[in-house]
Amino acid sequence: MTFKQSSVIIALSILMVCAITQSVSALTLVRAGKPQAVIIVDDKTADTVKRAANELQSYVKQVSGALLPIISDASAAPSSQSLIFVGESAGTRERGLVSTDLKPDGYHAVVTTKWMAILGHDYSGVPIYGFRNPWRYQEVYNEDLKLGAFGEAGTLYGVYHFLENACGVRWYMHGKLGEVVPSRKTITIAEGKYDKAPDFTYRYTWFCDFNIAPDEAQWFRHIGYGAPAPVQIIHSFDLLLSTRPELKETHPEYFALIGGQRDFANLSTIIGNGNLCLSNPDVAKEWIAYIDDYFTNHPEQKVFALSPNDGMVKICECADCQAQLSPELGETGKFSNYIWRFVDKVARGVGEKFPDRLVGCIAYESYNSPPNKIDKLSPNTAVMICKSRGSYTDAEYHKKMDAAISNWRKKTVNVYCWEYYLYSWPPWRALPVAFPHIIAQDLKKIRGLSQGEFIESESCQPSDEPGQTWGHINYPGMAHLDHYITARCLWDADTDVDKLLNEYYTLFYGPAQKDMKQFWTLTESIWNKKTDGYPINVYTSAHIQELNSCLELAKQHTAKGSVYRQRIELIDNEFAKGRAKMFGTEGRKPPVMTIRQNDSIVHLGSNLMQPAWQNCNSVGFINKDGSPSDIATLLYATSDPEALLFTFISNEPSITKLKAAATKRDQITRPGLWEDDSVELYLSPNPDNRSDCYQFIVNSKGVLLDMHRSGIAVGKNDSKWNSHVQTKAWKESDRWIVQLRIPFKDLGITEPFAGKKLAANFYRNRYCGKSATQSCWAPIPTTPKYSPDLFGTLTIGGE
Amino acid sequence: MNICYKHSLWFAAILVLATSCAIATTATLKPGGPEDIGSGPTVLTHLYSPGGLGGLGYILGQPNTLTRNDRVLVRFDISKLLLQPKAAGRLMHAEMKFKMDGAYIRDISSTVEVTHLALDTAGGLVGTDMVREPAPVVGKLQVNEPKIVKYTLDVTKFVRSDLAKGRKFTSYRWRDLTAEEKGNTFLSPWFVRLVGDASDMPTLELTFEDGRKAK
Repeated sequence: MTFKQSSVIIALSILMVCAITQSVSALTLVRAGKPQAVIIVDDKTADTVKRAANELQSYVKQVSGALLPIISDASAAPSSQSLIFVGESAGTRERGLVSTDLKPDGYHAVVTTKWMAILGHDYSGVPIYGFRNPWRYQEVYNEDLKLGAFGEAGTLYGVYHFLENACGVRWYMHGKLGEVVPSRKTITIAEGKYDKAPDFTYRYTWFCDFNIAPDEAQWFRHIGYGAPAPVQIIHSFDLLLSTRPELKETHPEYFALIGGQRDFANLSTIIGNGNLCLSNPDVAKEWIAYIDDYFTNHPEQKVFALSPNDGMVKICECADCQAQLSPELGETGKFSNYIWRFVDKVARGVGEKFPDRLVGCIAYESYNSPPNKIDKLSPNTAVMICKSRGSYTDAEYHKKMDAAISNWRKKTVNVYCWEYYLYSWPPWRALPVAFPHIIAQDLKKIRGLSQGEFIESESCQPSDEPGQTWGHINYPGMAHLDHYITARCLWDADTDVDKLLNEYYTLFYGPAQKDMKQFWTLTESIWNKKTDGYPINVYTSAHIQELNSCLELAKQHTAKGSVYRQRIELIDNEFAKGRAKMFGTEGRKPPVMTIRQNDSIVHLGSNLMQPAWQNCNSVGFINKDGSPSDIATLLYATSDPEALLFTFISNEPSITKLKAAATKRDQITRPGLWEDDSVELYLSPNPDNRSDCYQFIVNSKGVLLDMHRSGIAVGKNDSKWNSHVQTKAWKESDRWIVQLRIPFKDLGITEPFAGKKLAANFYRNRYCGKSATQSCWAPIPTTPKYSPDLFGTLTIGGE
Repeated sequence: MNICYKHSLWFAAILVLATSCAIATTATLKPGGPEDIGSGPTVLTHLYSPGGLGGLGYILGQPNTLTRNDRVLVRFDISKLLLQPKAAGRLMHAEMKFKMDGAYIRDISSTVEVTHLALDTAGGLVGTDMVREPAPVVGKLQVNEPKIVKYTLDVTKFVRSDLAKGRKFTSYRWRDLTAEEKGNTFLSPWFVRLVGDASDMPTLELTFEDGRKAK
């Protein structure tokens, strides 16, 4: 931590304290809900500075109720009012404040008893965007908001930090639901002078399209993402042919020789449009001219990409190119000397005219390792190292990437990282993934080694899901935490992540903070222990149950409709989708079963080898959430002219612990039947009127509870209703069996014709295990078992 | 061994066989329909296809230019066997028979691994079952000829385990270890196929001790 950064933290801490204690050496902006200050902003200032002033006014109003006027001329302010200078202006210059001495995106903040000023480096030119995605105009600039991802915005960040530290505002997630805006009738801050700049210059996360998703775009800046300019380091060799197709005819020798042909397409790369002969000196000259032209026309740009097309499996087969192969560097480095020698050569050429601009290449595929025949790259060469810190749970990979960064740093100071936070895409989509401590530790370690990072998140390709759209954060409940932590640590790599997380749990979840702390802590713990890349092997059933319990408790501890409950429900709804995907139950239709008709009466009995059971259909039970059950239950169903017949075979490794306390029919007083190991049936004779439903519970002693439900609401059942159902039950060494014979007449079915349908569900209630569990035929992710809409369908007759 | 009489029918046949000391019952099971046999890419498990991949069938490896690492899932319904108590104890022998076609293995010998899905698939075979662990190995087979070859694996202990746990199905997974290790270096289809025509499905042949004495 630098001295300046230390002073910032101390100063901000003082601000926080003074906001409460109202120190004498302080500036009061709002007192008892009345404005005590005016905001001064230059008319001709940058758009981000105007935004800073407007947001300062807006959030102070939301916090205190006081509307601080915005004016451009400090002399017009009433003498009774304090002055808040936002951005550089005549007022700040009169006071000797300038922003020229700051690092990129940095700002000064000065507070006296009469005025305060926040000013930084602020870009005011044309919108900055790159030559291809992910930096295209519409992706990184919103015309309505006049807000972009790029261009320095020191004053804006200064105001945001003021709102966080002096007013208590937080932006944990995009949109209103993601904001925390406390209520403070008086806002007073202590005198002080401090400045701040981010630890990493490049902080670009690709989680939204600015034009499509204004809420996400504003959140991007609120939490500190941004950069002076895009670091456009991506595949680019194709640019030469796509912008100058005549080269195929005029200079075929520029292109790689593969199998005796020039590669104008994809003879040597998976993504084609031309691979190049890099040993040809004219190719380097072409690129130097091309890049010179680009920088001449784009003075706002700092970096140009010079990287092979994706999936380069071969290089040019001419003798001069082949002589540059480096087999000694293995699969990750055999092309390194070849590619990086060329990049270095072009960079030196570009540097003659544009010494302050960078030419960059990705460290990727077989040019991933640093070249061993180049000691130092040209000072204007940049490398983009592809890495995934989410995979740092693999110690070997972590070690390898640390070494890569360190080794590349010996070749150039211009090291950038291409990060992957693709957890809103298969296979992790809608599942809880968080690794805040890895983020904090990694950024602390690479501060000073890396200039910053591009984070490829979920907007990299159109969503393939119905209802989800391109360019948004589609699973904000799951994704917001890692993005927030990353943004904060990119600004200050010394951030105390535990403190930050505790504050997040407290402010974001209110009365459910303990439950949600447990949820996210368990999520991180699961991630840290993962040993493979398939969710089905990472999240055990016990994990899922525990995570669900956290969310259920969190909901119980928050008021319905409150912001806290809404945030928890957002996460819960996403998780429900993730679970369904993981278990393959998403989109699964309710189950169906055909019940055969026997011509003669079928009697209950332990001989299950009789033809009625041998020829019937059967189903196996699953857990309520659709996942496989560890303890099997089979249901066999058949019918005769008068009744439906069911046999439940419940496998039971703890057969001696079976609970069977109820001994009387319809025993609903404790010990009730519902607390016994039992099987349970719901039958609706008319699938179009499922609220008319009959319920039967039978324990392992054959004791029956039968009810007629006339409505969905709990309490609208009729336990006094009695059927003529016969039951039989017996135990074996490792299973127990229950049979029921349910007369059609009891269900109001007068004619059980072939094709007659019933809506139904079946459960096994298991109490003899370590904890009570329920398995069923038709999965019901909701809590109540009586969920008629999710019933399956029984059809009488047929095969 | 003498065939005494046909005992019952489902999917295929159950026969009761007389031995010198006890009566043995045999059963031959097949997948009952597309819900019991399918394949798909492990890189995108939600693309698992019950009934196999279009006209290609049941694929192991790389059916197009991508590295998909396709695998095959098959299950057999053993619920009828559980109508009698202690079915697991009576199981004498279980063999799984199937055919594979190595026409697309590109001059490279493929090692195909068959594993047992150590879970209850009563809720249906789903794409994530293609990658779910644990899946103990039943056997590894070499496929190196571009013609249909018949294979037999002893699955007694796995079927016995599923019967003991009272599961409706005993389920298996096929994968091509070689194709998965190499990835799609050919950038073109490269796969082994499990034969699964309606008349030539994988089968599970079971032999039980019936508990009766031979006459």
